[in-house]
Amino acid sequence: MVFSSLLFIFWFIPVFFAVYWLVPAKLRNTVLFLGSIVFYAWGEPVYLILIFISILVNYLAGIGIEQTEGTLSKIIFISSMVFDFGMLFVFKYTGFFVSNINGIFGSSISDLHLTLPLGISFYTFQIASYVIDLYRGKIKAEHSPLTLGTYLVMFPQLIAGPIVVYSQVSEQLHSRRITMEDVSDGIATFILGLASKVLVANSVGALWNDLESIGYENISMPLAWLGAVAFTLQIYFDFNGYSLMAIGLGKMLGFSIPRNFNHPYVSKSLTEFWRRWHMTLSGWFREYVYIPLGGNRKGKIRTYVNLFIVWFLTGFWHGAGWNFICWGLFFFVFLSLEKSFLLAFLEKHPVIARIYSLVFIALSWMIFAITDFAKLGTYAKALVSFPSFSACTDVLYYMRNYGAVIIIGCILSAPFVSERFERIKRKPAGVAILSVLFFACICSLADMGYNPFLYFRF
Amino acid sequence: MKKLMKCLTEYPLILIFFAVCAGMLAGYVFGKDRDFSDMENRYLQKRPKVSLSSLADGSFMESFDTYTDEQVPFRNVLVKCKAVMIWLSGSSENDGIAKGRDGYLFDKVTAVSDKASKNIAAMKNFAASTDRDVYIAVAPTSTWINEEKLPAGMPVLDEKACADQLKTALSSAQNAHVIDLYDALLPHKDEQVYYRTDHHWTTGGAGYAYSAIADAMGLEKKDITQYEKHEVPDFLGTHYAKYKGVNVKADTIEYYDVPIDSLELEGRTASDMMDKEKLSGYDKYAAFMYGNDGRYEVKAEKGAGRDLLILKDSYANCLIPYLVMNYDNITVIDLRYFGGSVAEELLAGGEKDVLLLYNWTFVNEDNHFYKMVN
Repeated sequence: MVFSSLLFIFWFIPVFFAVYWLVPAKLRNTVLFLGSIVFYAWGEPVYLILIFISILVNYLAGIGIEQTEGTLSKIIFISSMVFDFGMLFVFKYTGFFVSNINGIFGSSISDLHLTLPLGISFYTFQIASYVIDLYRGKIKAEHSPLTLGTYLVMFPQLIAGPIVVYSQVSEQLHSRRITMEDVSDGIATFILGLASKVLVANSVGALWNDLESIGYENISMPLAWLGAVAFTLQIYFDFNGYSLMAIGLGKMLGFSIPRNFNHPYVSKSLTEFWRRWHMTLSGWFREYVYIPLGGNRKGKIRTYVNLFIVWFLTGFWHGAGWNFICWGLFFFVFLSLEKSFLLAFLEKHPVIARIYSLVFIALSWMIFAITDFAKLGTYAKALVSFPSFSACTDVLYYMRNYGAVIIIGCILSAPFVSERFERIKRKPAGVAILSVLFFACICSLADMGYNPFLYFRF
Repeated sequence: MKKLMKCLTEYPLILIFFAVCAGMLAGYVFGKDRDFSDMENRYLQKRPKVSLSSLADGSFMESFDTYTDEQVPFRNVLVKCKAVMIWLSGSSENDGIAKGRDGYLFDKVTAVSDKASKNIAAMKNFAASTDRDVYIAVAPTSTWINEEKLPAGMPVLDEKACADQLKTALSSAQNAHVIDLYDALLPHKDEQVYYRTDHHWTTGGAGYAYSAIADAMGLEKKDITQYEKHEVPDFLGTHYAKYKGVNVKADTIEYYDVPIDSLELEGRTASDMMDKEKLSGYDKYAAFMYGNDGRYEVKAEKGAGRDLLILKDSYANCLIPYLVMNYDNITVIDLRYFGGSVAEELLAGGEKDVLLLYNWTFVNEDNHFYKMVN
């Protein structure tokens, strides 16, 4: 099930929350667990079994690590890591490795053709945080499999994040208070997320889709740049929209789910961009990969090697394809350059810094969006080949059709609108705006042609 | 209770949000499902029944998803509001349909699909499989003929180049004769040869196509205006069903009372070629030849001594009345809904002329052409 669907809004939400709020507090985890199972199984009943196995294995590993010491504890820890990341590897990366090995050696190993279990990249990272923190002695083992299960399958962030680390919610898993204020704010956040997704991301996404069907060889330079802007907006409003909906729903349930985006497009360097973009993912990599590897404390060379590893993994996490690896390494290159000298320059020239950041962020999205290298080459050519004036008429059509939503998207990418809105959201004006947005979303959903979630592929 | 009410007035958003969600849920549960959407001219998914097998294979969930989308309470109002919202944002496009000049709505076809070459190959094989002359006429789309009315800069495929390719590919085939409808219609682009709100050509447009077909097939050109002409206003066609926006000019459907002996449809017989009931409904174009039956026969014995077999899509429906003036018997096959064998149809009865009449978009997108040689 996806949040931006009539099914979720008009069936799941009223039924689930009615039950959730009416049952006694001690039954809430059970209701949340069962509700989440229905939510997940709706589109993917088969892979439910994978989730159950994952809960069981990690629950037992947790108890095991708590009860043992030394080598035995280490063995349990390592086995559970092998299991968690092994599952991710098998289901997400087998096809990639098989086809590459076949390509290099001319062999014909047959692929398993596994469909990617919904949300596996996200829930693997979540459950891994539990076992790692436990092994490090930061947290205590969870003795109720239901509570641990609830943490793992909680529907707000199960399939596309934010990646909630166990230690952030362990207290709320055991007892939480839900106030009317939380519910009201949660609804507000949910509606803002829904509007981001349905009204902005889907609209500009249609432009990007058009370009693919026209063929990158047939588009003019201005249209290619407009397309880059459109995708840049689409992926932000899509993913941030999803995260906001998750945070809002979490609030309505009594959980505080961490913020995932902090206006990434106002960044003045790519380093800053990654402190503002998908913060829970970069936070996870910092906490569980970069720092354990030694971070920047083991000399210059080791620092760059560590950065390389982290960015390679970040790219590969986003998708089992070379373009995602290239996308990750693109950031490795730029972040390294920034670390060595560029950052000092950018700090002195804020205007250049902003332009530089936006241009390279948009270009990075092209590597991300176009999975086929030949097509990426064609697109790159379109971006730099100066056309004749008459060949540019195609951009007029798209400016007219998408100009308004692109401008709105750009304005909303800056912090001042949301900061202002934050101040009035509980006032009548705020409620009126939210009601109108909600209505507009419902209208759009009632006539929905194009409604994918970009981050579901990961 | 009082406390709850006080809270709700303090936080009206909670009340609004859940009133809408619960109200809509009640609408789903207690409202009556609709069978058919007139506005969009299509059948709607009704609430599916639960069964163990449909739960297990996920088909229940799939149908239920569609059901929630298609039976949402106040659907027509909501859909209309969305169209108005899009219009307000300055966009000329909704649901893949763009609004151009003079109230014309256009389909946006931007790419040649790989089906096109398969379909051309199927037509080639079909022509080669018979010893008859096979005439092939491909109707241009409104987008191509009315290029000057498109919204500025709208991306369009070079459809003429595609049609020329088709011509080249087919003209090498044995027995195949391609009739160029592009040249036949283009000089008349300032008359209304296509509907504004529908993808089909008008009766007038079909008349110019008939003229070109008659020339190519060696038929005597008959004058349809000798028969009584009818005009049916307020036609909003398939493009409108998707666009749904404001400021759209409705079309007028014209038809002539060409006499026939009988029209033998699948399981019923009619005495004329227009389904008058449909003319008062929403999808008025479906009145021509009673819509798209898999196979039907038009009998109009007048001693012409010629019979015709047509393989076609819906563009042919308003052109057949013209051809009836030249033939005693016309067998019409729509491969999408046809279960029999084309080869047998060719052999049945006497000698037949053979005409393939398709719209270019149909050649580009349909996947039933393989049935020609089955």
